[in-house]
Parts: sequence; structure tokens; C-alpha cells
Amino acid sequence: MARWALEVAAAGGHHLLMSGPPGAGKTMLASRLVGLLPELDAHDALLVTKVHSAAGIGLPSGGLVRFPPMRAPHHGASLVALVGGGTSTMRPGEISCAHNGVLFLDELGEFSPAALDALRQPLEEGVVRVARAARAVTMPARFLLVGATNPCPCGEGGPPGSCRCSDAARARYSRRLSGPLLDRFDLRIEVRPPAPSMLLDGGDEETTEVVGARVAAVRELARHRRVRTNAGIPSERLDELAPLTDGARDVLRDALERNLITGRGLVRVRRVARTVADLRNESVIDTTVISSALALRSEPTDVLAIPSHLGSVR
Amino acid sequence: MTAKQSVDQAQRLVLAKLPGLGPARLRWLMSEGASVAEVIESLKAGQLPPGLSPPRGAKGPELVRAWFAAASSINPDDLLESHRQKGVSVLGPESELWPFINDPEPPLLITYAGNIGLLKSRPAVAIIGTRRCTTVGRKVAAKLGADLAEAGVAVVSGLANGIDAASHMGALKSQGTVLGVVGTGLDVVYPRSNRELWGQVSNSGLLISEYPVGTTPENWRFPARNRLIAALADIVVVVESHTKGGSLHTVDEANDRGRIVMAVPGSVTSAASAGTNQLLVDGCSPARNAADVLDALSINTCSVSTRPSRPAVPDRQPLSLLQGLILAEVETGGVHIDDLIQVAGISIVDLLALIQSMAQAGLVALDGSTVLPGANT
Repeated sequence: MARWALEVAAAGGHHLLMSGPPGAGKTMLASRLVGLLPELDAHDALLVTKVHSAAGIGLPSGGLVRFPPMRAPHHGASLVALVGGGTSTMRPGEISCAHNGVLFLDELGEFSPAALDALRQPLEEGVVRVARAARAVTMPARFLLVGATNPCPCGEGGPPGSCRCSDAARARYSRRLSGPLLDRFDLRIEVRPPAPSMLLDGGDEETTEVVGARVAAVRELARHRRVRTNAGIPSERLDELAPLTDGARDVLRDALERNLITGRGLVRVRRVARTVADLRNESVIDTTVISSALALRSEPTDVLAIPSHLGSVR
Repeated sequence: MTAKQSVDQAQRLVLAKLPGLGPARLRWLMSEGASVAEVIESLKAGQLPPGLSPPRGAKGPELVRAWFAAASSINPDDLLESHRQKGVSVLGPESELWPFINDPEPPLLITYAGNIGLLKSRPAVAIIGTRRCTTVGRKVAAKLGADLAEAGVAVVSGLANGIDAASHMGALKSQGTVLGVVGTGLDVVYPRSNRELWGQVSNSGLLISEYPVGTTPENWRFPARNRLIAALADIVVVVESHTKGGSLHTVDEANDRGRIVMAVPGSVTSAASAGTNQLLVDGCSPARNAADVLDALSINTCSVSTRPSRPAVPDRQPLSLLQGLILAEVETGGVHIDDLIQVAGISIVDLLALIQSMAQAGLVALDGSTVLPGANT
């Protein structure tokens, strides 16, 4: 499941949220994801190299950053360290250093609300604008966002009932992640610690090369559609680029009527469905593909949510 | 309301406001047959009602002094007026709606917000349980609340976190009758996280307390609250309880009052079900679903259908072999999708699509990447 979600994320450029207990391999999965991304083309390589060099990051031998970078700032990082800035000389922040690569935010809920809020504009526009008294600069910041969270404050999670967090603590914890930011994650998965046999034998996984080739092929398809990745398909072109079968349309209508997805979610699900169909070499989105895309964004069901027909009181 | 009743209510409010006065001490204070007015008069005069000697123990004299001070400092009319200003009404034992006529430990009065007529709503079932509940427990409580409410049963609970809140949310979802009993003044929302629920129960149901407005939460007030829950319900259903906890206290109170107690069976490995499973061992009836509870209420479940809240599923397809396999896997609790892949032997895309379609049909619920039993199974 996790491996497949990585493949979809890499192929379509969809932001990914992983939740799971410590030791489930979230960091490992994030670094695996960056390995699935294709090598940078000359233009991108030059740009990333410029940003890294301005930020004072050591460059690889040869001086050119050829592979997509991965940045994993700690949740204690300051706002300036994340988005860039500085007094005498403006320096790019972590999100710009992750340009054309992966920005991995472990313990997403521990980042300050201000830091999470600052991510929204770059996520929308692919650039970050930093204004200071002396001047304002625009720096590139188009990254694949990978978030990781523990299921609850104690970090144990696991099967229902095994956790010692109170309702209040869980609610506080999940509230930090709620809202617009959570909505930007097209893929939300729960990861578990790997089984012992997987750790010892490595399982029967496909190699990075095999998966990477599929990822590159899907990205190539996106380029033919004149979009950067499937995640960037404008909503008005969805009917043209990601046509739905009648059955798939019914599934979406049902999901909307049950409030399983919002209007914004609808667009995002259709983009993910485009990527899933591309990976299966299918041109039209059928019920299977759209359903699996819906399942990939399944939110933890919250029984404590207030019934909507009652509205808010006071 | 007559002027005399109004004076009586004001005096009862004063008595209910005395610090540290729980049901047992109240019974003791009234045990020599003095009326509420007489008790207040003696306290004001710095004396216990005739025939009572100060309680023993180190804290006894101190407590009595606090009562003397409170009785003379609180103005009954102002206290009653402050309830009016806050939109909280008062109901005393003289009312024909008074539900605690034969109760061994009746409250002095109840303060309420909402539709007081619901006090007589029958049948009434209390759905209670631990605050430290599991996801499954919360779902069971919400489903029980919704289904019982749908069948016309009033759902009583304590508005605590966890099971209490979930059962009321469920009942509110089916627009049923909800009755909340709280252990603070009605203007002191506790716990704060339930304030929306609090407002909804008072708006579309009834919220009651035996304490005047301004009463802050104290540990001992919640067990006292439990006895009112037990008194108001025909049946008390415990959804989840640890081996020790307030829920089991409510069970004791229910037993004292001859109420039926039922418990939801839980996994033997779940600490949150240890208390309820013990109740079952001790001879409680199991409540697997609303139908079991309705049976115990002797409501003809044929006429209300055994699964009251099941939505009409159009063109309900027979289960495929694979769907049956998945249902069997998730029957006993949550299963991660990764485990289902092993069982199902189909591709991840096909499996996710199948689970999503089953979730939309209500056969299973998808919680993150964990598949749980659905509402319609």
C-alpha cells in the first residue's frame, strides 16, 4: 500500500501525508520517494544548483545538482529558515532548497501554525515571495510535500484501544493539522512497522529502476498534456484530460452527496485518478480507478463531529 | 408559579449551592424531618437543624461553618433571579413532572434548559461509558444512540467525553430525543470541548443539573450526577468501561433503583472493555445492538425492524465471494489494507476500489488505511 502510494505520488506529483507510529519507516519512505523521481533536466538542474549555492549548501562533485533534492527541516526550524529571508543578504529557505524535489516534514503537527500557514502560498503558486524592508524577492519553491504524523500525541497508535491518549489530547493533536493544509494532501495513508520478514528478506519488491521507469513514463504523459505533472492539471481541463465513465461519475456524485469529499476534494481526486489510470495505461477514468483514488484520500472518520444539519450553536 | 413556590425554589437553590453538600450529606441534613426553609433558618442562625450533631471527622466542623457562612451570605431572590437572567429554569418537587418521587436520594431541585416535557419521555435508555474509550466503542455508542433514537427511545447520558458524547451525537444525528444530565451549573460548560454538543442538547432536547448556575466541576459531583442518570433511565447500557470507573458507579446506582443494566460485549484484549465484560460475567444482559435493548424494553422489534437506522439501500447486490471474505476479516475490528491484500490476492487498485465501493454502500468503514465494520453490517 505504502509503496504504491509512493509510486502515485512520484508519478503525479501529488502531496502525500503518512500517519503511523514511530519506527514505521516514514522517513525511509520519504527518501525512497525522492529516488523515484526522474533526473533533473538541464534547466531545472541549473536552477536547483543556483538555489543551493545561494543557500550555502554543499554541491555534489561536478558542481551540478542532477537529482531531485530532498529537504527535511526539523519542526523547530524558524520561519525564516523555512521560507527564506535574512537581513543583509536574502537567502533561500528550506522550501526553496526543495525546489523540484521533496520537502519532507516529519511530525507535521509539531510545526508552528505560522510555519504551516507560510507553506500555503508556495504550494499554490510554486514560488515564495519574501518581502523585507530593503527589498522583496521571489524564489522558486515548487516541491512535492510529504508530511508525516503520529496517529496521536503518545505516538503509539496501533489497534483501537491500545492507546493511552485521552479524547481531548487526540482532538487537540488532530486540530493542529486540520483545515486548509490537510486539504492539500491528495494521498493520505496509514503506515505500519514492516513485518520482520520484510526487514530480513526485503520482500519481493520491484526495484527502484522498474518503478522509476513507470514514474518517468507518466510524467512524460503529463508533459504531452502541457502540464508539469498531473497534480497541476487545471480544473477546467479535467473533463478533457481526465474523462470519466458514466459509472465513475455516479461514484463521485454519491461521494459528494454523502459529504465524503468537498468540491475542492473532487478536483484533487480526479487528478489522482488521472495518475492511477496512467499507471495502468488507461485513457478513461473508470469506476475502479476513481474508487481507488477516493480510498487514497480517506480521512479518519470522526464520530465526534457535530451532525451538520444541527449547525453551530452560540 | 405561585409566590410560595417561587420562595421555595429560591431556598432550595441556596441549599443546593452549599459547598461540599453531596447526596449523602443532604439526606443527613434533612433526616430529622425539617423543611428546606427550616434548615436554612437554622443554618443562618449558626446552628444545625434540631436533632443533628456536627459530623465527625477532621473536616466536619469546618464544613458546617462554611454552610453557616454560605446560608447567611446568599440572597435567595438574587440567586433565583440570576437563573432567569441566564435562561436557566428551575423545577422543584412540587411539579407534576418531578421524576424523582420514589428515589432514595432525590435532588433538591433541578435546573434545566430545553424542553422540560421530555422528562416524562418514555422509554428512556442511558448510554454511558468510559471517557477513555476506543474508536470502536465510540462508533458503537454513536450507532446505539442513533438506532435507539430512531426507534423513539429517549437517550440519556452525562455529556462527558468519550462514550457519553458519542451516544448523544448519534441520537442527535437521527433527530431523536436527548436528555443530558451534567454535574456542574448549566452555565459552566464542562468539559469545554463538548460545548457545541452542550448547546445542541439544550436546544433540541433537555439539559438538566441538580446544581445552581455558577457551580464549578468538582470530582464528587460526577458520581452524584450518575445517580440521576440511573434514576431517569429505564435501562442503562454500558458501552465500554475499564475495571474501575464512573460507569460502574452508575451501574451500582441503577441496580439500587431496580433499573435494567446491559453491557456491550467487547474484545477480551481491550482494557476499555474489561469492566463491561466483567458485568456480563456477573450476569448482565449483553447489548450487541439497538435490537437487544429494544427487546429488553419489550418493544416489538418486528414492527420497528431489528436494525432501525439502516438506510434503504437501493438495488442491494448480493455479496461477492471477495466481499464476503473482506467482511469476515474485518468483523472483529479494524484491519489494515496491507493485511487484506494478502487475503484478497488482487491488485492494490482493485482492492482499494472494492473497499471504497463497500464503504459507500455502508458495508465497511474506511478509517485512514484501516477497514472497520460498517454501519450496515
